[in-house]
Amino acid sequence: MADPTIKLLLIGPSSSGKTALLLRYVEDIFDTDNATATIGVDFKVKKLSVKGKLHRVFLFDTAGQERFRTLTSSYYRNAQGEVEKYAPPDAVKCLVGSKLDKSTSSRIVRTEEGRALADRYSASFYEVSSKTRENVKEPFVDTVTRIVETPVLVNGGAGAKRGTTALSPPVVSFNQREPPPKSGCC
Amino acid sequence: MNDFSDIPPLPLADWDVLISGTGVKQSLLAVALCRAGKTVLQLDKNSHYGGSAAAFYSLSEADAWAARVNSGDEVGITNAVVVSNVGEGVGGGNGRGYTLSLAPHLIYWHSSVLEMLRRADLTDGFSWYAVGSWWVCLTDEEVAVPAVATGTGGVVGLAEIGVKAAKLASMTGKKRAGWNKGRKKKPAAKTALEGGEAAVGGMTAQGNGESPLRKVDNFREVPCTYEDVAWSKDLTDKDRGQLGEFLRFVVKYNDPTDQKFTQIFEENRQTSLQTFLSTTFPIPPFITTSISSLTLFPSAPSDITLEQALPRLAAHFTSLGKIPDVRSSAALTIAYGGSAELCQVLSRAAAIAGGINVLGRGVKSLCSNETGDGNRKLEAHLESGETVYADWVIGEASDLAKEVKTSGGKSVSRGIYVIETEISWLFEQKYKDENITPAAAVAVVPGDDERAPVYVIARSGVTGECPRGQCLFHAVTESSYEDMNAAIDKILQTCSPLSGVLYSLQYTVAAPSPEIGAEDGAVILDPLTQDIALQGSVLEECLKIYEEIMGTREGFMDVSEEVRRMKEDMEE
Repeated sequence: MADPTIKLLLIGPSSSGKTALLLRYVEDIFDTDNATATIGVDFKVKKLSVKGKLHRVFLFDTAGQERFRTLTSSYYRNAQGEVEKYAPPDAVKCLVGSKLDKSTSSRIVRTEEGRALADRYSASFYEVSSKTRENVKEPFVDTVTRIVETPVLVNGGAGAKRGTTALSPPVVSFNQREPPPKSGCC
Repeated sequence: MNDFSDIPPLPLADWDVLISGTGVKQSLLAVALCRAGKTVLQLDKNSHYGGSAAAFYSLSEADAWAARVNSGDEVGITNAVVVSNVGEGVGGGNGRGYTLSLAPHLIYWHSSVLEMLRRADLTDGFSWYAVGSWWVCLTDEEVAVPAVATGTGGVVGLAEIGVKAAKLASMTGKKRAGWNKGRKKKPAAKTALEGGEAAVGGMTAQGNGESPLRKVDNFREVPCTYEDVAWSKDLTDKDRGQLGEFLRFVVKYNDPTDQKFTQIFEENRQTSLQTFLSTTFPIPPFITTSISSLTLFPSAPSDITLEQALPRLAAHFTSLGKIPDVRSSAALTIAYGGSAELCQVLSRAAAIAGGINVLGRGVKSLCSNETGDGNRKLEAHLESGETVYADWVIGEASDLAKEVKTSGGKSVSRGIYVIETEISWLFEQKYKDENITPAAAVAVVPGDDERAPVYVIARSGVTGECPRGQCLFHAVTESSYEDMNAAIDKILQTCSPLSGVLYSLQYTVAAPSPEIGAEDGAVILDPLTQDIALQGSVLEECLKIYEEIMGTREGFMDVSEEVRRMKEDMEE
């Protein structure tokens, strides 16, 4: 239990490839036949070494709740939550454009547009393909690195005990490369 | 958030189980049935989770709910009164930063609900906080402190159980249970006594040595731990002996090996708590008031039967001393809204197990499926125009377009008050060697011949339900709004006269309707009661329905073997 833990959330529209990216990153699986909306558990854990120190990263998926916009506010909270209960203004954000393997002509969001959106929200930006593994690790490694470099998140400001959780769950948002379901971002 | 116009249609028309509503019972059943492999669709006519256990995440959301109550749109709830002294600037005008819950339940450590959540591997999804002491408002005249206070005679009867309790406390202290895993050792509520209010109240610690019984003006801590009983100066040695014997009775009244106590219980089932405590274990009336407050019944001690009181008191005393790192506490509460948060986390758990939740889509009518598709037994028409078929339909009468029956019982008045200061004495640690600071406490203003008592559940900013430096009071009583306001004033006046109420929302909940059980093939849930602590009966009702559907109670909420293996792999 000595390793520091970090809670990452995946959010974004239904069928944007959140679960696919999660499973590719954590388990190196890409299963086209079994495109379920859920992973059956609350979160997946990935161990990640940042600057020589091992971190346990808890990756939370939406469990399909974004489909009917029924994501609970509790989802956004820190699982072992200490105290910072309000919207996490200092959460580290990363915008991910998925399905990079699709041809450029079928994209509805161009790279420059994605990058501009990310800039506006001080998020980093990556384009990935869970199918080809291209760039799958980068958004996670980058996000965790940025969290580790933000002491207020890692130490919990007031001094989180036992090397536990960052206070504000950093957020990984998704961007859509394919013609999406009608809704925009959750 | 209320715009559902672009939400996609339901993925299927055909389900094993349709659950209408996202209250505590509905959500528990959704998780249990999903985990048992049933296909479950959980709907709610509201655009928020929780039903009668919902929370409002801003003052303006609470205002909107109050308006719905007053236009008759919230079944069983009437007469909402909002008083706002919030200035323009606060929270950007709409009062964000608050979580006003309709169900800020306490959960006893020794309760079937908590045991079930632990077994179901669900406790990690919450921030649990300890509930501190019970405080009762009693004047010096009522207590009439006897001249001779200290001595050792009466303590003898207590020695045995006291030692046992202390041993238990130190034992449990060693293993850290799931609920507070990874918490900070001393949550930040521990800033007490710095503000001006403490000086006004003037906390005095009574008694002897290591276990003071606290008193802030007329608010006295209920002697609830064995140390309290052994040392309180409010008690004579004779009282001490009687009270000790009564506490022993409380934990043994249904222990078949104890013939004396079980017989006393059988003979007095219907006796009122007040009569019982003035005859069988004669203790002064003020202690009766204190003991009665531990039952959390919003009725006078003369209106509570022994049969009703004992299970409640037993839950309290068997929980006491068991919670790791906070031995003076008996109950916990969930941050961010109590059972409102419970409903949300359960709904997510249901989704993780394969269920679908949809908000803002109610059931308009329900009938048996005689002509419709497939072989499902029931056919539900939704407000959205969609039709859904299911073998089982579960919900409260009001969520299934059924007639809501009322009973002649007493209605309950409730109030949520935002207090502009933190009233830190309520949340002080009781013992120096405890590692957890309570985030909630219970204050009771006793009633009299005409008035029922008022229970106030105080919740600190640590719960995430209000900004730091403020706190919330949830009042529950069978008495009037005026009495409720008077009780709140009493707490503020005595202890912190400079504190004002920033915002209050009062409402009245009708007495629960008589049990229906089933109607036209649908399973009708009893509305959630207004109890202050989450009751085992909630779980019992769910188990009964689960058994009806699955043919067994075995496996209720169990995590599947596959998922358990996945989790174990991750632990490494």
